[in-house]
Amino acid sequence: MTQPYRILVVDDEESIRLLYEEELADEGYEVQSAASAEEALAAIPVFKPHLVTMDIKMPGMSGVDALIRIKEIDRSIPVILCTAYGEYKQDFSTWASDDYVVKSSSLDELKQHIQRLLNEKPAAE
Amino acid sequence: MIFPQPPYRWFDTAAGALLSGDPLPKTLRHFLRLCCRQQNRTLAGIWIRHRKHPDLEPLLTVDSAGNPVPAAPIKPGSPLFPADLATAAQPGQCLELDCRQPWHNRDPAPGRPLHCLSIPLIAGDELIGLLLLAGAAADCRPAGSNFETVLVSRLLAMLLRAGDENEPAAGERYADPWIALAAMSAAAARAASLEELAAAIGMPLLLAGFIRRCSLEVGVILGTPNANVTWPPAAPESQPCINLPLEGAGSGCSISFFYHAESRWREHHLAAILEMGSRIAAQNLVRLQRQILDARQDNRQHIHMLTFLHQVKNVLLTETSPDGVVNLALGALVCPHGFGFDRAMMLKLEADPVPRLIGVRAAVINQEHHQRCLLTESAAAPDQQVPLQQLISCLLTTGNSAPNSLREQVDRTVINLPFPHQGPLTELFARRQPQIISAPADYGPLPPPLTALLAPAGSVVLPLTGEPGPQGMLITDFHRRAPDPALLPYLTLFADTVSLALEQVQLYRQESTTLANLRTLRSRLVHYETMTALGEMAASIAHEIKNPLVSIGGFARRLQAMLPEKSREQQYGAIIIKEINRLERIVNDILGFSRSPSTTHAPCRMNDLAAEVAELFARDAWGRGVEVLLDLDPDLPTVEGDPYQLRQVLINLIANAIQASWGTGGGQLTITTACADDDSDTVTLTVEDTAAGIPPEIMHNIFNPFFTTKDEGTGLGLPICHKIIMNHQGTIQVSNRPAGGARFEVTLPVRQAQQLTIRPAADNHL
Repeated sequence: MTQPYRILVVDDEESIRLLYEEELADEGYEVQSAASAEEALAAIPVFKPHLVTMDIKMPGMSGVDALIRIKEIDRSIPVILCTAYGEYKQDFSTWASDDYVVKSSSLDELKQHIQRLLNEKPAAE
Repeated sequence: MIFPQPPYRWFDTAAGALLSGDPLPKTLRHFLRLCCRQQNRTLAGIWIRHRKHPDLEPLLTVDSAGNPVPAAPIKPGSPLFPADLATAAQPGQCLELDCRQPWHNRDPAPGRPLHCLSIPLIAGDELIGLLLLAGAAADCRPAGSNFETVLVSRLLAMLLRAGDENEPAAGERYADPWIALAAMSAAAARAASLEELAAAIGMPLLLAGFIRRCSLEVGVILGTPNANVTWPPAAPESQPCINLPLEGAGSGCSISFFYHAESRWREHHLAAILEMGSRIAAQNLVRLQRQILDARQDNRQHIHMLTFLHQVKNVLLTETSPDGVVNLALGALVCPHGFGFDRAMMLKLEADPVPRLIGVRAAVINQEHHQRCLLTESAAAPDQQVPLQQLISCLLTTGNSAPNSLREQVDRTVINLPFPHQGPLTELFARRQPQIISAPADYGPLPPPLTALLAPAGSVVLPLTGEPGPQGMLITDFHRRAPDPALLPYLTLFADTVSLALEQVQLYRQESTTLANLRTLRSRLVHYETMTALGEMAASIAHEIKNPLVSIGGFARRLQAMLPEKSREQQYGAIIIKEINRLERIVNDILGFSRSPSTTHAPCRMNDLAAEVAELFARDAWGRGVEVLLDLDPDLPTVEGDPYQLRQVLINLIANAIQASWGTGGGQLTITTACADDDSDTVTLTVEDTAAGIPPEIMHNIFNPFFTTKDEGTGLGLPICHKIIMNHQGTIQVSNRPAGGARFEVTLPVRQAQQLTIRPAADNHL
C-alpha cells in the first residue's frame, strides 16, 4: 500500500494550523504542523515532508527566509507560500517558492495546488 | 533853456517811487504820499481824462499819510481844468490857484485859504490827466523848478500810459531810438557779461544812432550789477548825470546820461530821455507782472498735473485686472480734472496668431456724466477730495462711455505688424515718446486703420512700451482742436505709468496662475497622502481580520459538513459561511487596493485573458440571465504588462457589468478587443452592457476609492482598475451607450516605455 504524502504546515496561528491539519488529513495526507520557521527547519529532517505550506509573516524567522533555508536543505521539496497578503503573489517565483496561495476559508485552491505539485513528484516512499 | 543844476530832490524821490517795480496802485499811492511830503501839502491826487468822456475822473487821491480820500470829477471849464488846457497844454505848465475843489467833502485846510497846484500830465502831445497837490496856502513849499515839475509829470504820464501802448511791430523796432534803448535795456538785464551785452545788442552802434538822431551831445554809462560800460569810451569823471534804472528796480542796471564836452542839457532832450526811461520802466513793469502771473499760472498748472499724475499712478498700480487698467487709463485721459481730452482709445499689441495691434476700447467725455461728476465733487466737503477712481468710474459708466460709432470703429481696428513702412509709427515705438500727429498726410504712409482713428485737428499717440517690449498704444485727442504740446511731458510720464501697470497686471496674473496650480497640486498631494494613509490603515486592519476569518470560515465549513442535511443547523452554518465569504471579499479588495503597485513585465494575450475571464463568469452570467459575447480581434498584438493585474481589471469590469445587468433583469455583455485606429501602437479592450448605464451625476465619482452605489460593494473595484491601467501607462474611460448601458474602454500601449515601477503620483483619483 502506498504511503500517504507527508505535508508540513508552518503557521504561527494555532487555529490555522488545526484547520489545515484536519482539512488536509481529510484529503488523505499525513500532516504535521510547526508554529515557527525554526520549528519547521528542525522538523524537516525528521518528518521528511513531501510538501511544505509556509506562512510568510511569523515571529522570528520569516517564511521567506525559511523557504530559502529549506531549499538549501532539499531543493526537491515543494514549498507553497500561504499568506493573507495578496500583494506578494506576483513575486513568489523570485523567492524560489513553488507556488503561492492567498489564505482563504475555502481550502479548495490550496488543495488543488498541493495536488498539482505532488502529482509532478514521484509517488511517496 | 539852461538846464538847472542838480540836485533834484523831488524828482529823485518821485522817480524812485514810480520806477520801483511795485504794482501800479501801490506805486501811485507811494508816489502821491511822497509828493505831499516833498511839497508840504496835505492832499495829493491823480485825475485821468478818458478819451470818450469830457470829465476828469479821480484815479487816486490820498492824504499825507497815504490814506485814500474821496474826490469828485473835475469838469471842463473849472478853474483847475480851463478849456484850453486840453489842446494847448505844455509840459511844466502848472497852475497855482486858491481852490477848494475837488475835495469839497473834506477841507484840506480848515478855516484857512487853500492853495492848489495843478500839473497837467502829457503823454506825447496828448493831455491824459492832472496831478493835483493841495494844502494851506501858508504852508505850501514853492513848486520848485519848472524843469523838475516837467520831469515828474512826464515820468508819471508815461507810467500811466504804458499799459495802453501796443508793442511796435518788429520791423520798426530799431527805427525808433527809444525802442532801441528799451530793447537794449532788456538785453542788458539778461546779459551775464559786458562782452555778451555788446555782442547781443550792438550797443555802441545803437547808442551812436540814438545820439545822432536826437542830435544829443551826450554820453551814456550803462551800469550792470557787475560793472559799467561807458560811451563814448572816455567818460568824464565829474559830470552831473541823470540815472535811469532799467528793468524795474530789482535788476541793478541803469543808464546814466551826462554832459559831453561843453554841451548843455536842453529841456526837450531831458524830457525825451525821461519819456524813454519811463516807457522802459513801465514796459518792464507790465512785462514783469505778466511774467510773474504766467509763472504763477504755470506753476499752479504744473502742480495740478503732477498731483493728478500721482493720483493716477496710485490708482493704476493697485489695479489687478487688464480691463481695469485700460478703463482707468482712458478715464484719466478724458477726465476734465486731468488731461481733459475729448476722446481716448486703446490699441493692444497681440502676439497670436500674428503680431498685430487691435482696438480694445474707446472713451469719450460725456457731458451728462461730467455734470454729475462735478456735482459729486461739489457735494463733497471742501477739504475732502473725491477719490480719482470714483471720479473716473463716474465718467465711465458700465463700459458705455463711447458712442456706438466710435466703439465699433475701435473694435474693428486691426493693424498687422510689422508695419510695412518705416513711418512715424515705427519711430514712435522706437523713441518711446508720445507724439502729436497733426497732419496724417504729412507723416508718410500710416496704416489706414490708424489714420481713421486720428482726429483732423491732430491726435496724440502714446506708445506703451514696457520692459518686455511694446504693449500697445493710446490715442487721444480734442476732436476739434489741436493738442497742446505742453501736455507731452505729462503724457510721457502717464504712458510710462500705464505701461508699468499693464506689465504689473501680467505678472500678477502669471503669479496667480502659478499659485492656483500650486494650490491644486497641494490639494492633490494632501488627498493622495490621505488616501495612502487610509489605504495603509485599512490594509493593516484587513490583514489582522483576515487570519481569524480564515479560521472561522474554515471551521464553519467543516462544521456544516458534519451537520445533518437540510437541518436548521446546516442552514445557519450556510449563512455563516456566506457572510464570511462576503467579509473575505471585502478584505481582499482593501488589501488589493492598498498594496504597492509593483508591476511585472510579461507578454499578455488580451484575447486569451478576456476569454479566460469570460469563461470564469460564464456560469454566473448564465444564472443571472446575462449573455456574454466576445468580439476579439484575431490580429491583436500581445501587450507588455502584468497578466495578474490585467486579469484583475477584466474580472472587476465583467463582474460589475453582470451585476448591473442582473439588476435590470439580464441582457447582453460584450467584450471587444481591437487594434487602435490610428498609428499609436495601442490596443483597446471594451466591456459593454445593456443595463441602465451610469447616472451622469455620479459619473465623475466612479473611479474614486470607496465610492459605491451597491449595497454590498467596497467601492474599490473600479479604483483598482484605474490604478492598474494607469500603471500600465494606459487609459480607462467610461461612457453611457446611446442605446443604453455602460461602456468601459481600456487602452493599453503595446510596449511599455520604461521599466514599470511604483507611480502613485500619476493617479488623478488618489
